[in-house]
Amino acid sequence: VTARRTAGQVIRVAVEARRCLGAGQCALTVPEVFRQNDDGISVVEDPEPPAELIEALLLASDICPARAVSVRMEPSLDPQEG
Amino acid sequence: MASNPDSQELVSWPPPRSCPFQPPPPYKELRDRDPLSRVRLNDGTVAWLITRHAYTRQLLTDSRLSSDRTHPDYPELAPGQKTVNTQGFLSWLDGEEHASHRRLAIGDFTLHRLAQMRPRIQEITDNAIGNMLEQEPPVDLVRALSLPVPSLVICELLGVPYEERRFFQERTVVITDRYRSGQDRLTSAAELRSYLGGLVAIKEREPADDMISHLIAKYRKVGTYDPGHTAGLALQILLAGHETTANMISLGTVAMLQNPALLAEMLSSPEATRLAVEELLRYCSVSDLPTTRVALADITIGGHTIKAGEGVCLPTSAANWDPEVFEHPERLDFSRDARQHVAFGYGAHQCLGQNLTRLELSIVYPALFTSVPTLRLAVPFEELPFKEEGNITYGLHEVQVAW
Repeated sequence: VTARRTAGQVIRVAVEARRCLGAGQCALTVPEVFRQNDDGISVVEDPEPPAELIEALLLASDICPARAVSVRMEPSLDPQEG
Repeated sequence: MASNPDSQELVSWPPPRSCPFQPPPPYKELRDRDPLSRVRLNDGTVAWLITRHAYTRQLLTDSRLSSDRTHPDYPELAPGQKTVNTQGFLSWLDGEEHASHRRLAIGDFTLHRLAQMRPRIQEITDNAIGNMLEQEPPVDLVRALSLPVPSLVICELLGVPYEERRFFQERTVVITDRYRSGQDRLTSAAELRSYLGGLVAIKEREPADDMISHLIAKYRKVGTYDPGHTAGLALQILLAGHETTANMISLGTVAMLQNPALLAEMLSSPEATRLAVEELLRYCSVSDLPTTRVALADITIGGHTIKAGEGVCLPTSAANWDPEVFEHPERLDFSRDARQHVAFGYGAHQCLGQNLTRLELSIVYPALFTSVPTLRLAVPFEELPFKEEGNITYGLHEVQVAW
């Protein structure tokens, strides 16, 4: 099991670019995962980030004023996970 | 709007603060009773007052609430609010129209772009402190530091030439001066709009690496360029980012002078400074009153129905002192990560310049207290002139300091 997975689960992070209004809160909170592009729109640099970032990711999702950041736990599809 | 039969018993909004560093007392009382309450505005109309963090955020992301201050039912803070020339003001627009303008402006407020501005903001701050120290104390911190720093930073951002910054600064000071009449303040705002119109015309011909030039290029690219609108957008960035930031510098400085242990904590590391800035933003909630809306349709929330045409007041200090989210909100506590605060608003209109403000404050506080370690108030705390009624943003008119 890599650091990315907890009990066969994987964190999936997405930004809905259509909703993003460039407040930059996600990039400020979790710079390891989010980056603002030159137009101010947030992009996800690491869509399956390590588990230890989960609290920061949930905070980033919570404070996004455009409600554009989604953070989900999904079952890992990696066959090696068993 | 129809008057409410119970209106005589309603709390008047906005109510005064009784303690300078606490929100108006009725917010807590109303939150405990019902976080969606009816209040009476200065003009006698009745509106909703929201005092719960969760409801405030929910409503500020609800597209059935409008920011259109020209709407006949919009809750008016001050008489004449609807007569100001607001062409280009983002905070007056709704929905896609608002988003289409905002998206063109955000490129100049990205974290990457702001990081490039950091050395200049540091220099502006150090110069202001240097100039202050050349004077004989006592000195008014508001005039020496709180106002000039954000004003010069906005000059830098917009691309105001050096030789014109005095003109620009003088007028930005008048806008915030309590001893000037409302007419003088409006005249100064009009002069700034006209000045920025001229600046836009210059940037059309000679673009540079500044926000006004970038806006012109972006508007032209999408085919919606309007010089008057661009000047108005620049003016709003000035008006929104100037006095608010100045108030945070003044209030934060006074709060630190009252709490030496917290000051030491703030200065202990960059991360400690970040936490301190966030908590001070929550605690002071200087932009308390502008978060108002009008309902365009019926909205059911918290066991009530906000009816179409009703005004909604969502003061940021009420949400930011909600104990459901911030335990012991009355404690200035740098160990909490206060990032869930709504000091910059929430939803589509959340402050465009919020990360610039964070950067300015994280530079100014440490610079001031490390350059002037003996800084102290030159008047008793009780005599400080806090901005009470009649001001849209909360803060201090003047802070006499010595060292």
